[in-house]
Amino acid sequence: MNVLKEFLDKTGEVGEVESVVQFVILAAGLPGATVGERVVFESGQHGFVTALMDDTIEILVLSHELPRVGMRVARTGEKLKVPTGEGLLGLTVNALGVPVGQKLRSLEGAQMREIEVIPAGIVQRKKISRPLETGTILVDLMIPIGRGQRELIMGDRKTGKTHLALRTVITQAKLGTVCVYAAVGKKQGEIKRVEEYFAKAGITDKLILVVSSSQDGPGEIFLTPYTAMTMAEYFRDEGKDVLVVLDDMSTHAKFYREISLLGRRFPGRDSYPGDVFYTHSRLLERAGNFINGGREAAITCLPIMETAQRDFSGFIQTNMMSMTDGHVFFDSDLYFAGRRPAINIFISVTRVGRQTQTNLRREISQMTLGLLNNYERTQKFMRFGAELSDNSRQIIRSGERLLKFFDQRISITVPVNVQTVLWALLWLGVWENTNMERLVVGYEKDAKLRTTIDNLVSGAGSAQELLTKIREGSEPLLGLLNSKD
Amino acid sequence: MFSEMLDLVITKEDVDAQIEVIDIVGDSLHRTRNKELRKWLMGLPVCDLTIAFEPTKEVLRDLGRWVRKNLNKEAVLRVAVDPGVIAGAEIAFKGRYKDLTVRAKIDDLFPFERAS
Repeated sequence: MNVLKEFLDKTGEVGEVESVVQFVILAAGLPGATVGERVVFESGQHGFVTALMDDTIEILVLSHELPRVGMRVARTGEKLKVPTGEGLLGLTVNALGVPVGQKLRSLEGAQMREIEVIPAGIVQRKKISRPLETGTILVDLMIPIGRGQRELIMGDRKTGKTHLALRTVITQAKLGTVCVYAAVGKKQGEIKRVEEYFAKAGITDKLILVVSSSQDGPGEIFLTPYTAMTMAEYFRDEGKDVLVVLDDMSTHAKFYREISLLGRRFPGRDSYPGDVFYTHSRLLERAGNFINGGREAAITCLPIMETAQRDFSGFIQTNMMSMTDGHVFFDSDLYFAGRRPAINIFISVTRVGRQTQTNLRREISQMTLGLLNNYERTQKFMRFGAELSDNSRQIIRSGERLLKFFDQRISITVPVNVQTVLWALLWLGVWENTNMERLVVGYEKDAKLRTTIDNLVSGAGSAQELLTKIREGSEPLLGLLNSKD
Repeated sequence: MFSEMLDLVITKEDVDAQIEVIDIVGDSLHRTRNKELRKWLMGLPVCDLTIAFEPTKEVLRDLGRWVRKNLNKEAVLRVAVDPGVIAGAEIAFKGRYKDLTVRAKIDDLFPFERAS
């Protein structure tokens, strides 16, 4: 009551709840209210203004308990804000930036930032030129992502989309990038699993988890990705690179549809409101590669999108494809064929990632793609039961070995230089896809081995040069990979 | 259109009572006129007043007169009683809010005590 009185005195305006439809409130009064402004109800709940009508305003409530018809409501005079800052690293927070779970901590010193801001213009942006390592061989090699890129991760449910995102977060956090993971309308159990996974990887000091569970109100779920992006922007302004994962945006779109339909807005295609494109694009537009005090600071964004039965021509899916810089497509057919990650590289796209690759990596990528193309074509012949030539058999063997090389357990993240060396060993046919982890662990722990691998890769100007060098000096590497213990 | 009715409806309770009567007789007499009257009554702007005492009819009439003179000539009152305001009134009309109570004045005089 006192909070309400304080704001009544401050703004000199009062409103009255006229109707309550689930979490959408229509209130009369508050003539000076603006869209996005935070409001307070007599019963203590908070909400924010989502639309202005002739005599009424539409408010989205941000709590489980709803105000009743006739209750008073006051403007706060400020937009919805969330706390941001270093103090949030290591915390799991809800869509309003309030810590949840066991690790309650005072957020004193946190900077309050508006959730909705106008994205930075072209002048503050710079061409994407630095690669972002995901730790997934297939992605780093074939569908490379750059810092500041928005790469959509798309696929049917349970095909490993989240695994790619989790591995990327772990790889990047270990490299010092600040990571913000937004779990949008997830089950409590899934959120817990993600929390534990990151805790086990020991990277929580570089991570903020912004979560809303499916039991939270649509208002909180709707705000979750915006809150995550707001927190990322704080670190960008501090000159740091940030990785934001939005898991997942199809749930976000569904909740926005629910809110819009309750608000009696006219339904469009698939009953989504007409402004659903704007809702998502104004969020993703906030990611990119920015210039901050003469230095580059990027917000790389990986939104996740669910498809139904491999159909990526849906309304929201195509919207997201058109506002991102490419997509990684997880194919359920490949998943059921046992491929992990089940990424279909022939459907996946990266629009700006290739420009961040070194000439060597680009050449390797082209050679690999060429082989996989040949492999696919030869496999089609095999289906007719045709007798294959020696050359075709060689292509099939090499293709299968390459695909096996791309199979990667969720727990393993492979540094880029190790990927390059392993690829070379495989290409030369001197390594049979065994004990990959040994080289990864060795690279992380043994400084000498790391220097050897780094020198091998950095000293090679072309794939042919790399293959020659590896052929000459592969003994210690193969010794490590093929040793019995 | 029905301005002669204004003397009969000073408060929101008066409006509700009139609407109740219209609902009872509405279908039997002057159907169209009653419908219009009901609509007019429903559309009268409401001024919320919070005062410290239970007002008598005379006080209500005085308050109503003041509101119609200063805010809107068709406004009706919705009065709430809160002895905590001490004297004066909290006024809310068409989304605007004014605290013209003695409580607010005292709070301004002793801000530290209020904060504690």
